[in-house]
Amino acid sequence: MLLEVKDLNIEFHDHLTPETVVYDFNLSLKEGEIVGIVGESGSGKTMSALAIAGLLNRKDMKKSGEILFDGKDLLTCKRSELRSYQGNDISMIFQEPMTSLNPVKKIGAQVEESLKIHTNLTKEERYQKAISILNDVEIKDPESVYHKYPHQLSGGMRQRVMIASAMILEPKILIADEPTTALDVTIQAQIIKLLKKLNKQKKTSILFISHDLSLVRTLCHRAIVMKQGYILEEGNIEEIFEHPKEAYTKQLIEAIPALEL
Amino acid sequence: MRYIGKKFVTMLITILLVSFFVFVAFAVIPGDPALSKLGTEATYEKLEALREEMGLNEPLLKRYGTWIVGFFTGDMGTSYSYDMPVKDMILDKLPITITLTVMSFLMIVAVSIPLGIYTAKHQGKAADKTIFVLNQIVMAIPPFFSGILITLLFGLVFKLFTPGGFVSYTKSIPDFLAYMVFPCIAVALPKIAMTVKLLRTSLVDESKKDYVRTAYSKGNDKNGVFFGHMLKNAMIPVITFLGMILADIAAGSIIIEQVFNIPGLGRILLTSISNRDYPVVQAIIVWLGIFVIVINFCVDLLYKVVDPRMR
Repeated sequence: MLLEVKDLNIEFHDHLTPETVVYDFNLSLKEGEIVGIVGESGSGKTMSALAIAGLLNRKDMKKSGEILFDGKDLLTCKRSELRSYQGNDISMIFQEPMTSLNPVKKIGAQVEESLKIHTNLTKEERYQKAISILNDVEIKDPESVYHKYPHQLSGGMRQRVMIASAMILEPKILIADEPTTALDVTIQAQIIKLLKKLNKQKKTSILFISHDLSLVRTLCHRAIVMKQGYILEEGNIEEIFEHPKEAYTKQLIEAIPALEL
Repeated sequence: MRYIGKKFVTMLITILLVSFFVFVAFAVIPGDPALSKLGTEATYEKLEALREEMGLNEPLLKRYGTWIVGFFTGDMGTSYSYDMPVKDMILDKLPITITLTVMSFLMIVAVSIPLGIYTAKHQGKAADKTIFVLNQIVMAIPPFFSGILITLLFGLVFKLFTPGGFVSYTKSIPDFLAYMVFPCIAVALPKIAMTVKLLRTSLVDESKKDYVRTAYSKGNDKNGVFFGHMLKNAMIPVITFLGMILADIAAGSIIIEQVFNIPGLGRILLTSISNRDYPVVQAIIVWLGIFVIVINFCVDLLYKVVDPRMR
């Protein structure tokens, strides 16, 4: 098993009364597998994802349970050890491609940043890799995009750039937190297609967080349904969509707008 | 390039406007320079003759024209009270005021930027809280008062410099600079406090932005995120502020020159105002105006370098 999360609880301590946002979260992810986490906002799906990516502030919250990656517990390992995984083995892309890129740094520098942190490649080698990954995410004219700034690109392009910068070291796990929510429908479909392609080509496992069940259905192998910090249901995509056990899951499925009129 | 050209033209127009308003203001102010020059010896004939000689009988616009052309060709008029060219009065004082301004500015940049980064990085810790309190205190002390305290402490108690013992740069540059250090500290202290506070706030604001999370997700450590990502973004408001500070300390050096007995531009400006020596006052004010405008021009250019969205 590539990633195993056991009984993860996340509790915030930045207010007077502690607030638990995730209860007994369990997840396992195999190599090359795409798992979806669905739920409404506030269901704890993003918090779980951030915890796996090691992006939650260790000071402000209490976390119990285990997040085992390659046998290492990401919750308790040393900071430096966690950093050696981040961007290298575990990468993340975010909901807002508009604000997730640094506005004052060139696209090229941001795409190859992980290479700079985790490898000793020369400038020229990094450039070659960056251009090739920009090609992989189907950006036209990568040589000119390399020298551009984020504000010069459209939302869809920026999300492609985000994916490129997350995928440049061919991580084992890509965590995608609502990567298409801020994009319009045609761009959405392209991004989903791209994620599918990268999963096939590079054998990257994807943890896909979304509130959009139809996207989860087209992309994922398995899905987890969350509500108010709890996992309600989990199973293969067919199981969940054809024979949902929970009433809440049924409601979610019924809420998908039918395409045929 | 086109942008720079456009900005440059705007800058020239602003300088002309400033000089025009200064000139008109002094022409409109009640009081006849010819009369005040003659004083009790004034007779109608003498007055008229002197007014003619000083060019005061010409129409305002023509006088402005002659003056501004003279100003930019190196003839800034003649002082009423000293009967010497304004240029000669200002020129040898200029290095003193420039040194005061530049040296305090360098102190501000050299101290406040590292300190701002330090407090933002150690947000909420004891060091941050201590600096916060010190900052509030230092910010509230005006330079003329901290100047007095510095004179007392470093001049009289520690004897690091002789209060009032200004050495001109024409005599000894090292001694001149050594004396200037202390007035510069007095000027710099409150501005350092403000800049530290601004940079800290700016960095803390940046730290909540999405791109910071992206930077951490790539495996950056705290230093990598601070210096590689946040600092450049956080510097954008600080650059504006430093530009304003530079203009402010140039104009505000007048007071500190009094406290430390420095014969700079501020000294002549004060005596010239009380003597109604308008050519000197005009020239100094226009020079200060030009300085402020040029600084703004440079800040605008610096923006382009730091923030690609401005290009």
